Amino acid sequence: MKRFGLFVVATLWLQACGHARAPLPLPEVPFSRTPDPDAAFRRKPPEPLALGSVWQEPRVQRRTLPNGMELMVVEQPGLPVARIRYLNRVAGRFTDPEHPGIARVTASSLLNGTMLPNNQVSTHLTVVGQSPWVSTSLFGTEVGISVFSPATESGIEALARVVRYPVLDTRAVTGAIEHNVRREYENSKTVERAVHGLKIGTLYGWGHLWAMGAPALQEAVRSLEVQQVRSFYTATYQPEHSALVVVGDVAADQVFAWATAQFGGWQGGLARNPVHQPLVSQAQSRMVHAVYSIGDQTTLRVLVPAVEVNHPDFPAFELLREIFVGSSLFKSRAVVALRHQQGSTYGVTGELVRVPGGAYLQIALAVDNDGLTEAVRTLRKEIKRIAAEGVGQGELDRARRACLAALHTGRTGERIELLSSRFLQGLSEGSVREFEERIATLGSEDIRRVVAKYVEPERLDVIAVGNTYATIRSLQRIGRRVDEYYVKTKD
Amino acid sequence: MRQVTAYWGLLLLAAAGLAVEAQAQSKRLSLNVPALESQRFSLPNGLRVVLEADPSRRDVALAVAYGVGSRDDPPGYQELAHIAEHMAFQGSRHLEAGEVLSLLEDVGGKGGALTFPDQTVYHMVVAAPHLPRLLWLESERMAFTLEGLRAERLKDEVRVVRSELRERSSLGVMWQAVQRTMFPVGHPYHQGRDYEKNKAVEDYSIADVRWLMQEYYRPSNATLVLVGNFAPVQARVLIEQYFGAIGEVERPLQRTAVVPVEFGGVQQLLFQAPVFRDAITLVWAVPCGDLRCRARLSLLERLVGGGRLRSALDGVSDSTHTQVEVDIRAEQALVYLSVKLDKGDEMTAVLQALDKVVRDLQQAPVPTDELDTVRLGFAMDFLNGQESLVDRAVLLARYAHYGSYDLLREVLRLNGADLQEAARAYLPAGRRLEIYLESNVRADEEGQQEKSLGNLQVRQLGLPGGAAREGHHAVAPRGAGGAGR
Repeated sequence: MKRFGLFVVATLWLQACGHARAPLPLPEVPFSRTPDPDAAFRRKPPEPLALGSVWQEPRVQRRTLPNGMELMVVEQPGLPVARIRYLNRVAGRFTDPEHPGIARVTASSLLNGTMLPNNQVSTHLTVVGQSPWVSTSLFGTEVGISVFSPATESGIEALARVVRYPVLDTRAVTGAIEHNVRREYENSKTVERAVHGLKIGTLYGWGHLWAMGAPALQEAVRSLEVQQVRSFYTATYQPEHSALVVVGDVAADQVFAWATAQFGGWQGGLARNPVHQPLVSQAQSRMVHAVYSIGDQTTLRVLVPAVEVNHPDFPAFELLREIFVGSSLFKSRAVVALRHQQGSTYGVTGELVRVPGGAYLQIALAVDNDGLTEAVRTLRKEIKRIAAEGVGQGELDRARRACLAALHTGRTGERIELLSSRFLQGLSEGSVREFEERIATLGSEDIRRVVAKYVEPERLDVIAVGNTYATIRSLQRIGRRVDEYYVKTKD
Repeated sequence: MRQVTAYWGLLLLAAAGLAVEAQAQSKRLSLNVPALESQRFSLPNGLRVVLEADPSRRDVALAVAYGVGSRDDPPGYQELAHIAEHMAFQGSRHLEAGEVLSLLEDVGGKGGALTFPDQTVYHMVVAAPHLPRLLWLESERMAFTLEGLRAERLKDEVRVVRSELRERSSLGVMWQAVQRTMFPVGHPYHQGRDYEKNKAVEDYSIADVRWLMQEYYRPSNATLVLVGNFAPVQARVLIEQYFGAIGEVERPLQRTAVVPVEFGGVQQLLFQAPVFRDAITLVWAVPCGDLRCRARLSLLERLVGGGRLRSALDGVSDSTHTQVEVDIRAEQALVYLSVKLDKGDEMTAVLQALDKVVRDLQQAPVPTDELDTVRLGFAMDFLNGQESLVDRAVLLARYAHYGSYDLLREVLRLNGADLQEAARAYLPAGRRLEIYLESNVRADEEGQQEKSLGNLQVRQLGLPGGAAREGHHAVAPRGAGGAGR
């Protein structure tokens, strides 16, 4: 930076860190100034209120158009907002193994221009609310839009135009390719993107398509041709595997009428079924270290292969997740051990990540570099305890409540997420009820059996993203071979 | 290729209770935003209460904001307010450590706490029938936490706090230095937060934590907010029962007032650190104590972040790492405008682009079409944000003199000239801080060396065209002239 020729080096932070301090006054006693501190109403929690009117959860109303497209509406008055989402459960991220990334490019192209009824091309879309967005996952593609509820009809019309009448010309597709190359480049700079490839590779093999790294994916995307994108669109954007979901301050009958007007004439018949590369969990579990961090902390991911969502043991994995690393700030096994007893991390989170044909439990935390070995050992120890002793009734009850509460959210954003993920993952309408019933009947022995059957504490897959000097030695102390991967994260 | 704009109704918001002037070329959109009424009262012990009933929700959320934050950490006691926040979960007269949350989780609720520069806010949400438990738990914390504090828990919580701070910022030393530059010595915000290895934290005693809590965690220094599905009359009875008798020490609360500052000139800081991208950040300090200022800054933030900044960078940088952020504190706002550079980008060209964004705002009123789009986008995000009862309760507790929809109302009243005037008043070219962050990682070092924030170097630059200045004299209390002008 030539413009700054004369630097005055100032060690500000050293000046700032002077620790001179005076003793604070002592607190006054008695500490409490509240009269009758042990009055009956202060000693234990009160009973719940008997409310005159009980809040009713809004129901999902469904229709199926003659062309096979599903419509789902949840009337949720309150805020004058409607969330509208088009779902496609065929155009998954790796649906076409010959052309990785084509689903994402196709989805991005949808927003780069539409054909108007008079055959003119529109490249601008202004709607009453937020601009439409697209998202592509292993399960499919989503196109979403949020509007003020009086403009719901316009929102559905906008979404239909984007999905049904994309121009997909050279400009639109090349723009989408550039956008996605750039996006992969940006993502490759993040820890999460680096960890994602490592997770799939660790669990299902480094040759698995989903483990494709950012540079290879960028290259594949760059080589896509307009005609290939058009063919992919024609083969995958069909009503048979599509749905429209609307959640918000709307009237279902009106929404069905508007959706029928926009999507009823969509001719199908060409859709293909999604094909996914089979999942085979690695026999040999791995320890992986990725060079990335610039600080004193290591980002840690511990992976446990799980069963797919339709498997009878899946609900037990959900309860295990909640008990082991769930949302409780004070009661999950990992939080109690690592935060409250050791003080070695701010928090531990767990997610049961679903992928087509399988799932895995991901435990995420950040620890000081010197606390890594102990953290992994502690997690192992807790898993062994569950496998040997099962779980307590109190933590099981708490886990049940948390799992069920997540299904009965009062928020439109979470509700549309749930509906969308269920459709994209091919779950039946009755799957929620079945899940609830299963959760209600599972006991401590079921959790113990699942852990004993599927989880090997000594062979947990561990990914540690940190600096080499600290992390490799810590992992080696855990006692297995460590594979080191250099994640190129700088320009 | 012909390009035709599909104009699907750019409409203005005209909701119940949301006064908006009609634009000639725009249609009008009627929205039925629930007209929530806030009830406000104080208990005899000074506790301020805000009730906002919303029968469309299944839950009820509570937030209690105490007037104590990181700005109140005594000299040499950084993070003490934050550590106190953590310790407030570690037991009380009638509760064991952690029970304040586990008793909430037992009935499907959730809770947590946040330490801001000006406040510490505790929040909880639970299904509506469990409102009494919510109030009981929070009253127990307010009345009896001091009795439950245990020295043995303090050591672990100090470690947790340090771990939390490290997770949040890998450049904490830099931001602390920035804070010290922005606010003069003696200003409550001058101290900033120490995100790094402040060993002194580990020497705090439980008596230190008790003193802070006794001083600041008192009913007369707190605001309680309830939002969600409840009957206000019933809620008031419960609040009076649980909180009405809570007493406090008799000595008067002494809290340093915030005197808003404006930068007295241009101050430049260069940091070198093992980061992946160079970056440039412009910062303005804005005296900002009323709703109108907050509304104008909120809309400016959206206007610049929503497209103007990216447009200005066309041909200069392809970076998508741009950010506009407004940090609103007591009587004071900080406006940040930042870009992380791509490889090959010219720092000077990026700075010129940022200057152009601000200059354009100052030179002409924002066009009506653009203003409508930005306002609608703001309204949509605002309404979506109202979905979280906890967020609503926390915001109400922090800005207790406003209702949930007051900010939206104020934003919808603004016109293009208001934003031009705001840009002139709030973003002057001659009174700002420029922060340059430069990667000090050489290409041949990639991944090869242990990188530590101990490598961070901080350099302070001289003012362009003038003599180098030392220390922190480029800021001055409002109305006191400006040492750096």
